This record gives sequence, C-alpha cells and structure tokens, in this order.
Amino acid sequence: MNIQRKYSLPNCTLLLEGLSDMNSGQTMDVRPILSILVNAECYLSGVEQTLSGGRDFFESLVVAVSGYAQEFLSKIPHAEAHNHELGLVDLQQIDDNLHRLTVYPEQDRMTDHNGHQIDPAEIDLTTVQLFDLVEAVDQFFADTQTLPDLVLQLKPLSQSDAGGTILSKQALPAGVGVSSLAVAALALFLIPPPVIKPPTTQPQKSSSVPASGVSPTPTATSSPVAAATANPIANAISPTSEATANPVANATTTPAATANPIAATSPPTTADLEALINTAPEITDASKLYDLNRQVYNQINPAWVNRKGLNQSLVYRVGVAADGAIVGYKAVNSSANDASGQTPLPNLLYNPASRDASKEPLAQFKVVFTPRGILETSPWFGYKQKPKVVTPLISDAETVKTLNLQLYQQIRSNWQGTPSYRRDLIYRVGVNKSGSLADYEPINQAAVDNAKEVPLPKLFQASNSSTATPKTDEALAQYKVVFKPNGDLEVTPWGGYR
Amino acid sequence: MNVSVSATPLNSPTTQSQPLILDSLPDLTIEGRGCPRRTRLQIDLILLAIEALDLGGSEAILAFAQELDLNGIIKNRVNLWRLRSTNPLRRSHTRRPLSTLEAKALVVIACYIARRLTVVIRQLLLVYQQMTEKQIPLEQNLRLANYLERFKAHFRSRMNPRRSAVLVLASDDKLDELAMDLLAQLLFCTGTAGMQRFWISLFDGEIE
Repeated sequence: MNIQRKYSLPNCTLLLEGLSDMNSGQTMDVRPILSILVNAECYLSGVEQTLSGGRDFFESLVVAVSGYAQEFLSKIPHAEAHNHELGLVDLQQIDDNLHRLTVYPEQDRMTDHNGHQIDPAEIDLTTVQLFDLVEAVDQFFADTQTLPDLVLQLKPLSQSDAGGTILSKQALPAGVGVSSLAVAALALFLIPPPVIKPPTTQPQKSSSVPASGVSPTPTATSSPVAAATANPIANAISPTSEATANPVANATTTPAATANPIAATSPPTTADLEALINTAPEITDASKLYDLNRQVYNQINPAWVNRKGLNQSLVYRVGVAADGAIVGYKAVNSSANDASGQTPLPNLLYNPASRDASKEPLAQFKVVFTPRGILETSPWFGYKQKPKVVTPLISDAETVKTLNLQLYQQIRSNWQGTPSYRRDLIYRVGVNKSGSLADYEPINQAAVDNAKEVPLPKLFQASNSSTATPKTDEALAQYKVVFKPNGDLEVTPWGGYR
Repeated sequence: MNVSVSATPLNSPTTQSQPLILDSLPDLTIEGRGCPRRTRLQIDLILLAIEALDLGGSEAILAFAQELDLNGIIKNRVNLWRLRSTNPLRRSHTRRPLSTLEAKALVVIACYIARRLTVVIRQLLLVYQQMTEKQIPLEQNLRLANYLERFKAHFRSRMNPRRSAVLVLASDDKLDELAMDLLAQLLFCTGTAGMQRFWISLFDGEIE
C-alpha cells in the first residue's frame, strides 16, 4: 500500500512516500506505519529546485540537519553536519543569517544520462528557513508511524569530540616548538666545525635569533652562513616541522621556486614570509586592511584562470605591503603546499629583488581557493575595529550623475547571457573621474558567489591592466550596482543623490 | 501546557518530588557538581533575551514556574535572582552552584515562554533578515530597535564590565549581534524538539 506523509512548515515541506510492511499485521490501521521509504522530497520556499532522493538521501538529510541545529545552538562544530565522506548532505554557516545546504548526488547518479557530471545542489537558507527545515525534520522524528527505525538521537558532544579541534590547535604550537628546537639543536651542533666568523654576520641579525624558540624556521634565515649549512638538515627533518612550507628552507620541493634563486643567495629581502613578519611592522589599521583586502582579492581573482581540478580548499597566508603588492605567501594546509602551481600566487609575487621588503609595514591575509572555484580573502587576524572606506570621494552632483550614466552603459554593454542566480547581486563600485572602474566589492554573499557572471572583474582588469594595484589616493565616485535575476541592472550613487 | 498535579508521586522518600515535565530532559551533569560555566551563562542570557522581548518577561518567568508546577524549585523572585546570579558574568555573581534540577526548570520555563512568543520572534528575525539584505540600519524598525535597545540596557546594567568576556561585548554592534543570535536560539527553542535541543546544546563539549 502506497503511503504519503507530509510535514509542512511556512518555508519548508517534507514529503515522504513509501510502503507499509504487510507482514506487520497492522494494515487495518487508520494510519499504517510507513516502514519502507521509496522517495523523499524536500521543498524550500523561494527555491525552485526540489531536493529528492531515496533512503540514503533522506537519512543524510535528517542527520545533517539535526546535527547542524545543535551546532547552531552551541556554536561547537558537529561532525555529522559536515560529513561529506559518508553523507550526501552538508550544512555550513556562511554568514550571520545564512546557512548553505549542499546536497551531493548519490553515488550511482553522479552523472546524468548524457554522461555529464551532476553538480551538487547548493541552497542558501536564512535562519528562519533553516528553522523550518529543522522543525519539519523534528516533526518527522516525533511521528511514530513513519519510519519508526529513525529516531532523534540528541546527545551532547564530549569534551574530546568538541575539544578535538581546540586540543590539536594547542598541540600544534607545542609540537612545532619541540621540532624547531630539534632543528635548531641539530643546526647549532653542526655549525661549529665550519669556521665561526662573527664579524661577517651583521649585528642586527642577532635580534632575530632569540626568536627561534617561537618561530619554526628562523635558524635557516638568521644568517647566510647558517642557511647554507643548516639547509640539508632542515630538509631531512622538515616532514615533521613546518619547514616544508617554507620556500627558503626547502628549495627543492616548493613550487614557489621562482622566488628561490634570490632567496638562496641574498640576505632575507625575500619571499620568506616568516622572516618578513618578524622584522616588518604589522599593518593593523582596519580601514587600511579593508582596502588591502579588496586589492588582494582584485589582484588574485582575475588572474585565477583554471578553477577546475581542486579537490580540497587551498589555504595560504599571504603577506602584502602597504601598496597592495604581494611580497610573500605560505601554504597553510598540505594540499596548498602541493598545488600552489595551480594558483596565480607564484606569478603575482612581487619581485622582491627590486625592493627591500624587510622594513616595509606588512599586512597578512588568509587567502582560500575553494574547489568550487570561489576565492575568499580575509585579514589573517581579523579586523580590530569596524573598517571605513577612506578613499576621497567625488561628490560633485553633476559629475556623479554623468559618471552614473557612463557606468551604467559600460556595464550594460558588457553584460550578456541569462543570469543563473536567483538573488540580487549587490556590489559597491568605485569609478574615477575619467569613468573607468577603479574598485569594486561584492556586498552580499550572492555577489561573491556569482562574480564570474557579471562583467565587473573584466572591466576592472581592463581599466587597471597597466598598474597591478589601483591608486588609493585617487578620488572616486562610489556607486551601488545591483544585478537582478531577471536581467535588470540598477546603478545608483552609494549614498544616494545629494 | 498544563501538567497534571498527579506528578507528585508517592515514592518520593527524602528529596522534593521532581515534576514530570523535567523528565523529558536527560541528566547530563555529574552528581553533586552542578552545571558547567557555559550552561549557567547561556541560560541566563536566553532569559535576558526573553526579558528584552517581552516587557513582563521576569514576571512571566515566575508565573510560568507556578503554572508548570515548578514553584518548588523556583520559589520566588529572590530565589530566581540567586539562580541567575550563577552566571559568571553577572555583577552579582555568586559561587553558588546551579543544580541540574534548577537548570532544567529554567530551561523548561524559557522554552514555554519562547513558544508563546513564537510569532514575535519569527517576525523580528524576518525583519532583521530583510533589513540586512537591503542594508537598512536596524534602528529604522521600531520593534527590532526596541528589542535591541532593551537587550543592551539589560546586559550593561547586569553584567560585570571588568570581566574580559563582557569587555569583548562592549560595543553596540557586538551586543546587537549577541541579541540577534539569542533571538535565533529562542526560535529554535519553540520547535517540537526545541526544548531537548536547547538543553542538550548547553552541554556540548562539557561532558567527559
């Protein structure tokens, strides 16, 4: 007997279809037990796509949703919400108020009938939508007549489950400390046999030596002499220490080899981020960081051409000088170390030979290349205050008006194709007095995700091809540009007309 | 919503009888040790959000204690204040432990009040979402602004500004963020399994 069950909330409807087990002898019930699930469908308001699947899909869905609800309440990650290995459903918080539901195709349905690979479905839920989904799942759990073998299992995470991440974070510095001590000890043990030449090492270098306890690799850079002798040892031990990621310590395997010839021969004016950070003052001003963050994004994003073929997110720590030049980077995860050739970072690295980067103030950013082809950048230490836009503003009403029209036409004539997104894409766009695009910034999440569909990156690149970094002191007129899913384009002055 | 009075069982030898309603929440603390720090903090904050949402919030807590037959645990205003002062961030923080029974009672009451306020909570969250999407300042919606203002006022008057955890929340923006986060948590409390979910979440990472 075919049975349907429906759990309906304002933003979410869960529809289950299945059969009752005839052997149970309860077929005369008004509401027989649905014990074999044939099909499950999940409708979300404002989302055309229907999520559907069999038992595997449904089980993954309820486990992930339930786990994520707990994570949302306690702010402590629950593994079952992100278990892509075993489940088909994954939930991630992407904003205060937005949660991304990703549904991967089932194993035997990875490709469609034409042999094309099916992309996972991604749906952004607001908190209220998320709650309705959780509530639909909970109503299903509370219904004892539907799949009684699936029951809500709530249990707090144990200290070790929750602390796994915290503990490993604490263990890492300790481990690095111990291994760097070992490296330092070995290096120092081997250094004495060569002739000790104190006069050749510059006195100021000694300032970086005491730091060797905290920083994993400075022994390799503390003086050119030490670097030459210590290198083989660093190489031998490096698999356990952070030294693998360091372009200077490990000249043979790091893909950033372009920077290395200089690194190996000259004193540390190089891409060695660790050394630079130790010597250079840090940029902490939030407005400046905000500005640099966009410059970093705008430099890397258009240069990242081949976005396919990443299996894992690549995470880098990138050092940036005050003018936006990328002076060093360092792989944070192991896949980033192996695959940096696939990123534009080696090419974007500012040639350090022409400048002495060690004394310039530096800002550090976290740059993530995701397998979905999305670039994310953020200040490594976050913002200390709320950033403000500091560039001078063109506020003359006439100019603002003319530039507005010019910008509209510029974008309109370059924007083709049918939009695939369903939300408005909102950007802030800065235009200089000659009408060319000097700066742009996505404002909402949809704008970040769909930047490839709008002509802004292309226009930005076209107007900034001569200079890699935009001039920051130039007066700009700021506009709000909205790309609507129906193909409408809105360009308005950022602060409204005065 | 009413709980039958027959909850007073005959087999309650020494300690006070435990109302049936509390049985829906599992015991998660170790006997005699009281609730962990985060549990005490979160319970007080969620009640603070309720008070900011509903003008008669603190009265309602006592009224519900009566209605749910929990007045054996939450006896009166002073008693309630003592329980809430187990929140380590409070100016009036006392080292008195919060027992599982007391914590359960507060959670049950919070969830019942949240359920009564479901409509308001949903509306405020929808307004918040629309306003942030359109980049309109939150002050422009009267109800949302009222909630945020009251929450900030309550928080600042009751929490000890010398605590580092309170210092981090000194700015208006941070407190608004906290207030909205608590509002979303309240929404989750209103659900079918909301009470269990909220209760369990209070112990995430706190058990052995």
